[in-house]
Amino acid sequence: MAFRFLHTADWQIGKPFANIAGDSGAELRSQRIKTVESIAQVAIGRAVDAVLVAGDAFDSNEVSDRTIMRTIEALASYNGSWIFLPGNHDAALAHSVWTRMQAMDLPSNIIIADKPEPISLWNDRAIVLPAPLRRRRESLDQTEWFDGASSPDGAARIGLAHGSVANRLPGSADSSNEIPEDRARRADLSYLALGDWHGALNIAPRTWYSGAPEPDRHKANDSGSIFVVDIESHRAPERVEALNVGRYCWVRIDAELVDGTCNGALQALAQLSGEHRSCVVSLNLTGAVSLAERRRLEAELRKWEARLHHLEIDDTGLIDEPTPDDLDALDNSGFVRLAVERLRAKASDASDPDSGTARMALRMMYLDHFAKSA
Amino acid sequence: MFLRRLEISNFRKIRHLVIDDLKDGINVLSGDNEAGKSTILAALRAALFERHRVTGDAATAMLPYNQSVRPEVSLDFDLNGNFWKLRKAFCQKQEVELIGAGERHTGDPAEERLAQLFGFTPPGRGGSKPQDHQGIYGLLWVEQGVSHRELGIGAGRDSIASALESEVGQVIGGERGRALLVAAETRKNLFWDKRGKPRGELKTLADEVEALAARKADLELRLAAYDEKIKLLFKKREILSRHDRDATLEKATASLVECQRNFTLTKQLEANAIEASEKRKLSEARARVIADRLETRQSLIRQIEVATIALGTVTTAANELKASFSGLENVDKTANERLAQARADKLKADQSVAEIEQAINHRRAHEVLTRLEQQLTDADMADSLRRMALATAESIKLDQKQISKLEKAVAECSKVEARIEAASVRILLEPAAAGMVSIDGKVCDPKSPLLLSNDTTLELEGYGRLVVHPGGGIDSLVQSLRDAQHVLQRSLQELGIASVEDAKAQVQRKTEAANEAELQKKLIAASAAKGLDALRQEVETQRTRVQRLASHNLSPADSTEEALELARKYQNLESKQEAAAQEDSSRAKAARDAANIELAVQTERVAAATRDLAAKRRELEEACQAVADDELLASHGAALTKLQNAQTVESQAATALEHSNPEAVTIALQMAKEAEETIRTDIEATAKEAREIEIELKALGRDGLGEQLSEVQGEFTLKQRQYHAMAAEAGGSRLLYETLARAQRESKDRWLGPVRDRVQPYLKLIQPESDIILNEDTLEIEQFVRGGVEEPFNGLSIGAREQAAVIARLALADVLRASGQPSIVILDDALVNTDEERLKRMHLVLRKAAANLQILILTCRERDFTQLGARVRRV
Repeated sequence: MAFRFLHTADWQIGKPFANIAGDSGAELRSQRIKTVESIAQVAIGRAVDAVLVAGDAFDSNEVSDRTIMRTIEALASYNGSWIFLPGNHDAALAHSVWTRMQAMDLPSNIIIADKPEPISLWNDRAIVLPAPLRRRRESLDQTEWFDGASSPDGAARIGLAHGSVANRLPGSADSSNEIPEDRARRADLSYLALGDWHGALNIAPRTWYSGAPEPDRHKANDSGSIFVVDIESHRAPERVEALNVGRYCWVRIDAELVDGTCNGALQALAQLSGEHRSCVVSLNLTGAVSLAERRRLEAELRKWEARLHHLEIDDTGLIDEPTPDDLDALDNSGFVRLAVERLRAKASDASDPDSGTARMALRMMYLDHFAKSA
Repeated sequence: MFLRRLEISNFRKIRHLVIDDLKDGINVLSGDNEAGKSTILAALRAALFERHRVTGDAATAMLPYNQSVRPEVSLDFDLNGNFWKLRKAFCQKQEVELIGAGERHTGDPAEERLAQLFGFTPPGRGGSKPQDHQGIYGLLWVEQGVSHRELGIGAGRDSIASALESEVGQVIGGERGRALLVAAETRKNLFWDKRGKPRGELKTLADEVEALAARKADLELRLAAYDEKIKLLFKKREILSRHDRDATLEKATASLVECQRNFTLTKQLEANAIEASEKRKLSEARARVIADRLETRQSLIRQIEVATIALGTVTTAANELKASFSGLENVDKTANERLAQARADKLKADQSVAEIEQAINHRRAHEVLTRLEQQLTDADMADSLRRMALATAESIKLDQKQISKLEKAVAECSKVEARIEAASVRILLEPAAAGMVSIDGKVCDPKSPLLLSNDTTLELEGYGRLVVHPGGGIDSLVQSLRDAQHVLQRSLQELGIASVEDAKAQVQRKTEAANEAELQKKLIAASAAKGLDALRQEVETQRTRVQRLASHNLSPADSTEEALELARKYQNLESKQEAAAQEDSSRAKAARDAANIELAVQTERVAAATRDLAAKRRELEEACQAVADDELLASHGAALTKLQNAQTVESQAATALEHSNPEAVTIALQMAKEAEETIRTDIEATAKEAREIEIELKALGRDGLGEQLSEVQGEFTLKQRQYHAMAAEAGGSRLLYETLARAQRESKDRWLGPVRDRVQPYLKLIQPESDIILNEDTLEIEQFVRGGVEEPFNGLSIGAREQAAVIARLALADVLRASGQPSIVILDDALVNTDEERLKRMHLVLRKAAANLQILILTCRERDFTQLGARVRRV
């Protein structure tokens, strides 16, 4: 009576990554379809009974027909059951990505779980109880009906839902579409497959978030994998194996430069694990550096930009602090001295709205100076 | 530094020249062209700056043409309070000697000391060049023909710079500063155009951000509309499923069928009720017609009875009225008779009064007549007297004038007589005894003297004749008297009067007669004021009146005033009685007339009542003949029975209808119809709308609005970030450039401040509100500012250029002097291009500069400087 399935969620196909310029962004975008293809391959390889997608397969209900079509194509290689649950991004509205999909001669193995009705396709080995979202934000708990849903004796009862588990997720998580933390117990579920949280997480007994298979944000959570879940019998403990299918590694580095040098930032970059070309890095710099160090940092960062898939630098919190050496390097005579003094005064006056601009000007002068020297 | 003495020997064209006693301030050295002025400057330069051992071109240039001699220059000068003597000889037996301040140097040490004193760099080898080797003197000593060129600061720059720095300190940023400024400007220009507007990539990015924001807003709007449509679709579907779930349409249709059935039943009952009602109304009408006929007949019978009674009443009243009328007629007659008697009495009283009045009037008229007749008699008499007097007056023709004329003639006679008497011979006769004297026979009275006025012969009795001849022209007097007497006699004759006295008496008589006539006229007026004729007429009139009034028979005793009064009282009494009788008569007549009218009316009423009764009787008779009374009563009973039956049927139908409640049935049917219609329409319309929305959404969905929006949002974020980064860079670049440029400008201002301060007072003398701008590095003149307009130095006229250059040199010399450096200005024909007017002002400039500086002016135009007030030496 064993039942094996893949648990995945939050593909968010159609997410454009337009804030990442050029080829890097385009590759991130196309990768999402490729990851779906990988999932199909895993499903074939592991001979699963079904693939359960716990919501947000699409980034929105308003993705283009082309995107929908590409997704259906990516599913084609696995001819077992694909069970899609509408999530908050792709809620089962009167008109939605799902109604559109169904109008596209959908293969019969692709099942859209847009009604709270049990799905029983596996000779009473298992039934799937879906809790589709029919609004972006449901005010009522959609999983409540699980409790009273009947199932054949011995059949695994698999809940499929999308939202945040009450009282369990970190405070910053979205608190809409709440799911009670004891739903699995109360509904006598073998497994509650959840979507919405992008990291892999066993959040409550028999209750799991698979996370997004392809990371898409710089959040320090464990994303990039799917679960292969084995349910031996209705009340047997679930066996969950996480498989990494993600291509890109999204990393956020916060470096505070406090010693006047840029070493902290460079060291953090040097410690990046994995292939550099698969890394999407967000580097957040704070603290202060001398002009000489700033010059060095910029040269080094240019190199890292070339190495990484994408490097996004936020140095708005990094302040130039020209040292006496920096300024001595400039001509310390004549009007230049006067200009430097004025810019420094402006830069160090926190109440001056132009202090940032003055720092920028000082850095430019410093760079110009060395460019000329060179 | 001040030059005091200069001695030149064998230097170029100068064989030997001494210029001594040079003063502080201006010294003018004048000489013709080719006289060697410029050679003096060359010699001065040679002495100071050429090594005494110089060879080559520099040395050769000192030699007079084609001669091999020993050029020698000696120089005395004051420097920093010390007196120095310098002597140099070139080409042959070269030597140098420098003595002063307790020092004495010769040879190379002398050259070194000299370079040290004057702050210049001696050339390594070869000749000294003003710009390279002569320090500030290349600047301050201006050779002929170059004064309008650039200043040629050259080697003097350091001296000036050090002089300026001693005043303002080091401020210039140097080459690197300028490079930084250029780099900053280049970068700034990448971002900003000349007007400070974004350009290039910055502008492109800003535009892109703006365009993306617009696109984003548009997509958001469209997406919101899309979402709204989805919501609407959801609502429509909800409506449809509710209809379906509640089977609203089926229910409505069933209800409609039931209502229609009920409605048909009610309609039938309604028709029945109406028919019964109609029948009842018909019966009612028939019964009413017969009842009306019956009523009419009975009414007629009643009317005949009433008319008979009425006729009796009016007939009685008419008879009573007739009796009353004849009584009133009698009263009227009696009143008339009484009135006639009263009128006759009244007439009699009137006649009596009239007769007495006439008698009284007659008597009075008679009295008046008597008086008038007397007056007439008096007047007639007066008139006849008046007429007689008038006749008398008229009969005397004499008048006063004629009397006067007579009196005049008499007076003339008397006057002549008097003269004659005076002239006549007076003879008094005193006859003795009775002797008689006669003249012409007439005896003369001896008692009266004789007056003889003509030859007279007196017969003296007793004596004889005495002839007297009066003389003295008496003859003519006698003649005059005769003439006058003649005139008088003739006038009297003409008037027919004997004498003047007579004439006077006549006139007197005439006056008296006229007075008498006037008197009588007044008497007439007293009697007959309106004239005699009028009086006469009046008498006649009065007489007639008396005659007219005489026709009464009363005695005077009966015709008194008392009798009249009595008669009038009686007349008044009669008058009152007549009025009373008149009133009684009128009243009786009115009563009689009124009774007469009333009687006529009443008579007419009797006639009318008679006619009415007859007509009604006839009518009844006719009606009875048509339908007999019994017959009429029977048909009335039958109609009443029929009506009763119809009423019963109607009441039954109405009850049945009311039981069916037709209003409720109608409303229910209308309601069911509308409900069915509404529900059907709602289902159809909603389904149609849902289909349309679906189609619309399908079409919109294809574009992938959400995907587009996400993309645009991402792009917007990216571009915005890029823009902010670049804007920061652009802002920095601008701030950097502006800060550097401002710092440089301020530094320049400070650096050249001392020069400007010294230039200004000179410029003020030649051209107020002008300025000379020097390059802060080369110290060359860059611009000349006039009236706020900057002009490049090379664009100025030659004259303006040389003036500006001289002023700049003087200012720089001031700067040098102030820093304790030796400075002396030598101008070799430096103002030859300056016009006369400007030259005058330049003289002021030179005089001002000379207050602190020694200035040597070399010129071939002595006259230009004679007004300068300085000593002119001729070379």
